[in-house]
Amino acid sequence: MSAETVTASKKGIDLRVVMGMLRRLLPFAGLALLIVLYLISTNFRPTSLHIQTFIDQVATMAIMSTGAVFIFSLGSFDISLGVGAAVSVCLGIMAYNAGAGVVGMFLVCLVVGMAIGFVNSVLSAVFRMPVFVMTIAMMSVLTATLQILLGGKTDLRVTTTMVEPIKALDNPYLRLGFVLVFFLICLVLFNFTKMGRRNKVLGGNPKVAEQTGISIAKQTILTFLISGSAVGIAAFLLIARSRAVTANTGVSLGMDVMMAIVFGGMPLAGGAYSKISAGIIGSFSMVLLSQILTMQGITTGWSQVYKAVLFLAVVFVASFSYREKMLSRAEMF
Amino acid sequence: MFTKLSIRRALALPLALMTCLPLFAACSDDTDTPSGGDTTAPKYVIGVIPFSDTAAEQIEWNNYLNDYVAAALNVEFKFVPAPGTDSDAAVRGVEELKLAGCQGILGVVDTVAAIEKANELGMWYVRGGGLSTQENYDAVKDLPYYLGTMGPSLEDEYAAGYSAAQYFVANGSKDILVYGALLGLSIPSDMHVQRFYGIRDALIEAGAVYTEPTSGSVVLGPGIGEFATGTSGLNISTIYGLAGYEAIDPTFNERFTAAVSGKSFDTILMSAEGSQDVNTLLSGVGITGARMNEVGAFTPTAQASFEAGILQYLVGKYPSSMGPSVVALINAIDGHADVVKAADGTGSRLQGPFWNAGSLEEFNERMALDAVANPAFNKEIMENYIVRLHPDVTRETFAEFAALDYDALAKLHK
Repeated sequence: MSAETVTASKKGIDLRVVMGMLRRLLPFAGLALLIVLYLISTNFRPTSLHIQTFIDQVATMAIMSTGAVFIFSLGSFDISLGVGAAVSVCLGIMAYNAGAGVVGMFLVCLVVGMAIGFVNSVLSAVFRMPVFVMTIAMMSVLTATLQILLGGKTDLRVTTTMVEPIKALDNPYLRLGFVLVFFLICLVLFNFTKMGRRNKVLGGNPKVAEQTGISIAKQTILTFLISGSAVGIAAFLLIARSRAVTANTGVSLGMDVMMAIVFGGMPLAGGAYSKISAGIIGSFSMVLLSQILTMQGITTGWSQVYKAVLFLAVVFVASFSYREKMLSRAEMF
Repeated sequence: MFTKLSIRRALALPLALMTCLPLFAACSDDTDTPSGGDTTAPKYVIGVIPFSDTAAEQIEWNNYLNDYVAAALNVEFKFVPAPGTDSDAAVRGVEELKLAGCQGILGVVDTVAAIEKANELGMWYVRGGGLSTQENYDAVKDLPYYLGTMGPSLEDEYAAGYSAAQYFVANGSKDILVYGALLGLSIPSDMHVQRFYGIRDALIEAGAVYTEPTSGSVVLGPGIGEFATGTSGLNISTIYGLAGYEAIDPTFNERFTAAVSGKSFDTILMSAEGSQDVNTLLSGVGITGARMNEVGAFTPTAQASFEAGILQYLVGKYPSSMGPSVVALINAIDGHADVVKAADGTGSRLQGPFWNAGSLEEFNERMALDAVANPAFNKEIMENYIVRLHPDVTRETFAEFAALDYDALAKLHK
């Protein structure tokens, strides 16, 4: 029995314990509530279109969010994920239009996503730049890169005469397959390998991690490569879906991923309580919420107010106790 | 144990939520509706994909749809957040509108992937409030559920820039700054390009000499060149980019300040809206009293600019200019898409002209015709072009309806 529980049983209910439980249960309870509301919105008869649309919308976000959990578990966040996906989409379409075929396009998306992740990781690990600040700068660099790749055009599309094989990829079962496989790989990596455990230790306290022999640079590079692979796979699915890239592709996706991870119950500071399920749970919740609000005819402005209020509520609960539980890094060393 | 901190934090959440309760209450869809709505008409559900969530022009369109058309023509409008130029967000918007039961979409965005998705889901799509680029139009014109575009033509856009430049030159402008809006950015817009070409040609006719931009000076997209005085007696500077849209053009303010510092201007020739933003930037570098035009919309923002003496010439769309697009969708949903589409079955490109105002009085006169309770495209006028009610409507008469200008609408209101 932990000291905290002993305190709770001896001196009555400790509010922090209650809030801690609430924090752990809230994402699942929230998702369950949203499923009920979704069913009500569809008169308890979701059609195949409902299910297909849900899968189509959730797949990209779920994969990117799951990959981003690795970075979040370090206590950081890569804000350039969305535009990174857009650059991958752009180069993937270029490769496909140049005759690389579907497999070639997939590999280009994957390699570009991982390459962007690698650059980010080197800047973070080798030059010790704060991830969030560094990725803000990278976002500008990648946006400029995308604009240059677009060459002053509004968008870049899959060549009309070559579009049929891409249309064939626009399949919910394929998306679901990608989500399941990627999630299972990440689940194993995060929960059952040294790599995942080291991430949690590093997120909990970098100094402690370093003193226990964990190579921060190596761990950071691995983390960003996993996240980059998620970006690449998401880019491939984005091409299958819209067959085009514009200067603003992925802008909303990047922010949605951040919100999804928090909705999914990820501790704001990362560390030992990080959960790989946060990406999936949060993405499902975000997409359900968005669809419910549209189906209910909530106008755009109010829809955003609802989302913002819910987000703040989740952040509040998620942040309730983590500061008090964290060791003071400044005082330790 | 209950610490001060934990109690304070525990209280903070319910208090914050209680503070938000009035917002939730206000979210209900209880809106005042105009009297005389056609309660016998079938109920239509139409989705709207806006170009912006905050632009005054879009807000006025939304108000017209929600506060007037909804009751007048028995339409329920559903909105999704503006996707900007994010094609994936636009596709998501189409999917959500389908789930919300929409039969058709009034899209104020020009995203091919979204139009293709609407077609795939069996939803009628009309591009309202403006044109598609030729490339985008060609990509979707053959789709069965694509009705076409309705709004000012490229010729109208050109004329908007041309007439504004001619107006100011004729009224004594000497030191001119040409504001190119999207020219030079990565979101090329045929509308902005044509407006600039109109301005350019009017200045050339006045004797100025124009040099096309060299590739090195073009940031991205079609850029703006340089004007020399020639025989015009005009001093003309240029600036590309968008004021007031930091997300699209984050460095505009710096470029603008660098371009205008140490100069004086009596006139700003705008290829888009944004006179108040530009005026604020000018004031910041000590330039006051410059006269401006806008190619934008008849909105309260433009009215305020007129009243403040900033705006002197406006060419723009108006709140009820979305009326013909809604009627097009209603006809298509009723099974009469043929009166909207071109004769060969492709999506049409129907013209809906701008309105002009050269003074506050003219502005107010035009807005009086487009009152909230009785807009320019009102119930009576629109119903005349709904095939279900008037089977004699043809492709030609529908095109004439979409092309009604201010004078024609004013006559119909008398």
